[in-house]
Amino acid sequence: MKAERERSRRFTRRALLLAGAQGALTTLLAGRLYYLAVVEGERYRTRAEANRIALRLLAPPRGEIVDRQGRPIATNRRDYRLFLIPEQAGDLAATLVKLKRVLPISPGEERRLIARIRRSRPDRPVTVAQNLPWDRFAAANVAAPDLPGIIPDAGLTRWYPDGALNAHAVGYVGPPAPDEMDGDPLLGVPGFRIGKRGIEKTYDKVLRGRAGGLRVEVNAYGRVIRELDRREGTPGAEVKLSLDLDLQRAAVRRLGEESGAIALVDLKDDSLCVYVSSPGFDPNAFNLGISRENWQAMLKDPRRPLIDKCAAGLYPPGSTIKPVVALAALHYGVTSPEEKIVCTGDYPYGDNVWHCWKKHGHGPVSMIDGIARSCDVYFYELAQRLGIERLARFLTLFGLGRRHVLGVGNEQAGLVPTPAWSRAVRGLPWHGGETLNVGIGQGALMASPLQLAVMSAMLATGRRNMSPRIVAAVDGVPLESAGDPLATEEEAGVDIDADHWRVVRSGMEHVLRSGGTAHHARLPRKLGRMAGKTGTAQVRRITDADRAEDRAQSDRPWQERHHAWFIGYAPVSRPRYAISVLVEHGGGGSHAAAPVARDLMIEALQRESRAVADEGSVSSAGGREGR
Amino acid sequence: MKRFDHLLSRADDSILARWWWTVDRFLLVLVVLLIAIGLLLSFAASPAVAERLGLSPFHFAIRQSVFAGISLVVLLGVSLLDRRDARRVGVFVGLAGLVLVAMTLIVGETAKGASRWLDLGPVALQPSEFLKPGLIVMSAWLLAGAMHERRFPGLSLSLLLMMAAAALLLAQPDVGQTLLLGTAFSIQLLIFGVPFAWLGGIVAAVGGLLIGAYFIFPHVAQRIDAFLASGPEGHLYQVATALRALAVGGLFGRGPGEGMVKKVLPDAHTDFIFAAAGEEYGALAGIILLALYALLVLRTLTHLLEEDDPFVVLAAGGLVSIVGLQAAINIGVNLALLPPKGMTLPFISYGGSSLVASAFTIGLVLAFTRSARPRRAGLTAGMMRRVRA
Repeated sequence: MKAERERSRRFTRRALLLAGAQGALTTLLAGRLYYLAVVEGERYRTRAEANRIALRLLAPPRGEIVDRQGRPIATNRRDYRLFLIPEQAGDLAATLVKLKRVLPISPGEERRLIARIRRSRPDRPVTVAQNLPWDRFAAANVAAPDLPGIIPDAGLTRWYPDGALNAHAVGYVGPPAPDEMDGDPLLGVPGFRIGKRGIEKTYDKVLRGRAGGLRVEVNAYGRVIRELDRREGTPGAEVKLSLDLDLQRAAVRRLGEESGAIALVDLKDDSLCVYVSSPGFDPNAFNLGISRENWQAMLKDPRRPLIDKCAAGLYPPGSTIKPVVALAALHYGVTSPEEKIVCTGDYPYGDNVWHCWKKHGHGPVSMIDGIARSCDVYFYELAQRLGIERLARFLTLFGLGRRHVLGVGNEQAGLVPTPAWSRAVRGLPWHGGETLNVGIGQGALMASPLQLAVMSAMLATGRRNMSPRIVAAVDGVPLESAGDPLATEEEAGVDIDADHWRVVRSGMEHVLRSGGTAHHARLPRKLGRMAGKTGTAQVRRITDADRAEDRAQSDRPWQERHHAWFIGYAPVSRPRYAISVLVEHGGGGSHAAAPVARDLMIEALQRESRAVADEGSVSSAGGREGR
Repeated sequence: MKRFDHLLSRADDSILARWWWTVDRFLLVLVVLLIAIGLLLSFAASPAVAERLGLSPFHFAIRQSVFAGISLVVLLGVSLLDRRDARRVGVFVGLAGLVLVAMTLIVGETAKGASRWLDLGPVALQPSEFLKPGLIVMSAWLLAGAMHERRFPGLSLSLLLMMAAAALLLAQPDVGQTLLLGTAFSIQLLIFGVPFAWLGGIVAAVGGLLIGAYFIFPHVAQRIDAFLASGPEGHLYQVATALRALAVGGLFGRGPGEGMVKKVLPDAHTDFIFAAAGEEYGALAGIILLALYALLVLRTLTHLLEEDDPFVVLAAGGLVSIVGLQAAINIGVNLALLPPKGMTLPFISYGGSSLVASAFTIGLVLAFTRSARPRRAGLTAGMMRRVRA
């Protein structure tokens, strides 16, 4: 009985102990709950309220780039893509596993994707996939509610319908690099692209447009619950180029597999109708992501598809500058049009002998012959009489050694060497023999196809304050002048006698006449006549051994062959187009470059006459109707 | 209540009448209230989960309603038994539980790295839920036997029984249930009168077991690692989401059906229903829920104060400990005080086994605590009397 009571007391004690433990446990849990929900929760809700309304930027469509007839060169097309916002993804690995059920991702891609996600800011979207086919995108959309942080997006992406055709002029777009963040909030919009090269880069601000705004209410996960207010952005302005897509295509087709460049200037307004560097690259590949193999292949290609040979490629201009040398010689009175200089094929100067390209010489050569048959000895003599300073002055007057700013980026100035340059840059005194080399467009003289096209245009028109351009209009407003004129009024004021012009142009006409170096490349008679000048630029020095062997260009390895040049304009009666053609390692200008120039000139002139004819028939039809 | 008083006269001698006058109606109301709350919450919390799993929105809610019906029947049915029959049922369920848990090791359904389920056609049974109350009744019986008859080795036998059960549960593996059962058994030993030094030894043994589990079972190690390694910002996704749900809810909640976080909260209808409820109904509702569990335990403990039968004290104390501890552990996980365990909130979480087993457990408590003499009508009067006493 005593034990019984003792046991009962113990039960009571221990039951009370349990009750106390239970009470303590409950108090602990309730206290923790209160702390989490009320104290912590207060802070959390304050933050959440601020996050409830989110301002999303709406990327405006990028301005289109069109050709001179308004046909699209760079446009936008719908692109289905997926973004991932790391901070909303929660368990990234789990999200990726689920994503892989709707979207095949190779292990390599996954590794790169994870690396990119690690690098990026947690609130910045990372592109997971783009350019998705519709069915994939639809599948991802269906699965999206179960994929935290994954945002399907049907946006616009840049599209270049002609691929590589205009790549060097227009450039391409890509995601902004950290150093390209210029404070424009648009750059943070997922998938936003900015111009990386060419017109796309130069006119990026114009093409970009202004951001629109979207105020949305989001939940604690950043998911949009509803749209509160939408303000569409301002689309980027249209940039109209002076390029003619048909002529561009014809030029690329004509160059074929050759590596080269063509610039065709419309002399009506000094604008470029053709601006081609071949081979090109596909700008779409840069936008959508280029494969390593593709990239490596382009880097290894000896024809250097990534280089814009037209404005950034510098070559010795060769004989194409001879008309300018001739003009200088006449202007400074060191010769007369009638004076004949005898070419024996050799020109001794100092301790050395300079050679004419024609082994046994041209015999007595007048100025017109000198130009038409491109006699080197004749121009050695003129150069020597002029001296390097006067020679350089005239070359500069015709745009060599100056940057022609078109807006394609990377336009190179080239080089017109002078004794001052030699001392300053090379630290060497000028050698008299170098003057002879410059006289035939060799030596240190360097120019781009664009510069030679402009030089050709100046020869055709006699104007020298020229400002070539490739952008015709921005947002419908014609652009008067993109860059500064190449020559100031004062320089342009170097008054070249009309008779001198006549002689030199006549020489250039004779290039395409019987006996001229490009006779075979003359135009069909009905299109009028073309004047021009061939050029063959040495890549490597021609040694006496070569000369002794008399090796043909075609026997040499491609990299050692001469560059082929042709400059010209047509029709001579009333010049409309000026052209320069470069065929890298093409051999000789008369064979490799002149025919290309002729074919393109035919194309341009035929289109011109057709357009005139169309205009005529339209107006006459209108006239009949009026009656 | 008054109306029922007329229906069931105190003089009436039917089983039902005797039950009505002897059962702890306060406890009964508490349990029915908890089941009702569970049902309500399953309608709120489970559609999001059901949609995530591609089921019809009320898939879980409808099933839970059926389970609630079954559990009410079990609750009332068990509480109708007299003490001896209740003990027999308890012991039978305990033995059956041992067999069925052993079967899960052979034919069990494997989910999330553990085989805890037996597939019974339309429903899956988790026998360990029923094993717990059964074992507690068995050990209470053994310990009470030892108190009646000094020579009866009840303590040793109950220790052996518990170790066998722990071995089976750990083989599944289910460390959480093992710990729960071990703690409830320790409370029984405490009531039984085992010296505190002994209990200290058991706590040490459980600690050792826990460390052993950490090194043996990868999923336990993984969960504990994740729990310990992370600061307040980097909890397991589940726990972090649960905390956010609570923070969003605040004191009064966002209102019924307004929960957003619950839509992404994993297991919002089972293990994390407390957090899901906290988002919609607020911390106040959570504290009320806590109070209900506390009342459930305290009310049972008050019976033990006036109860003379050691078996009843041991059985009821152990049984209610299971429910109370399980609730405390589940809520502790929801409040990021404990690593995630895979333990349900009794009566509230979705799940047939858990609900019916909890009802069975409290049914047994009701059966054991039915007073020998009819109670006076009214709850407060009874309570007041006890407080005064």
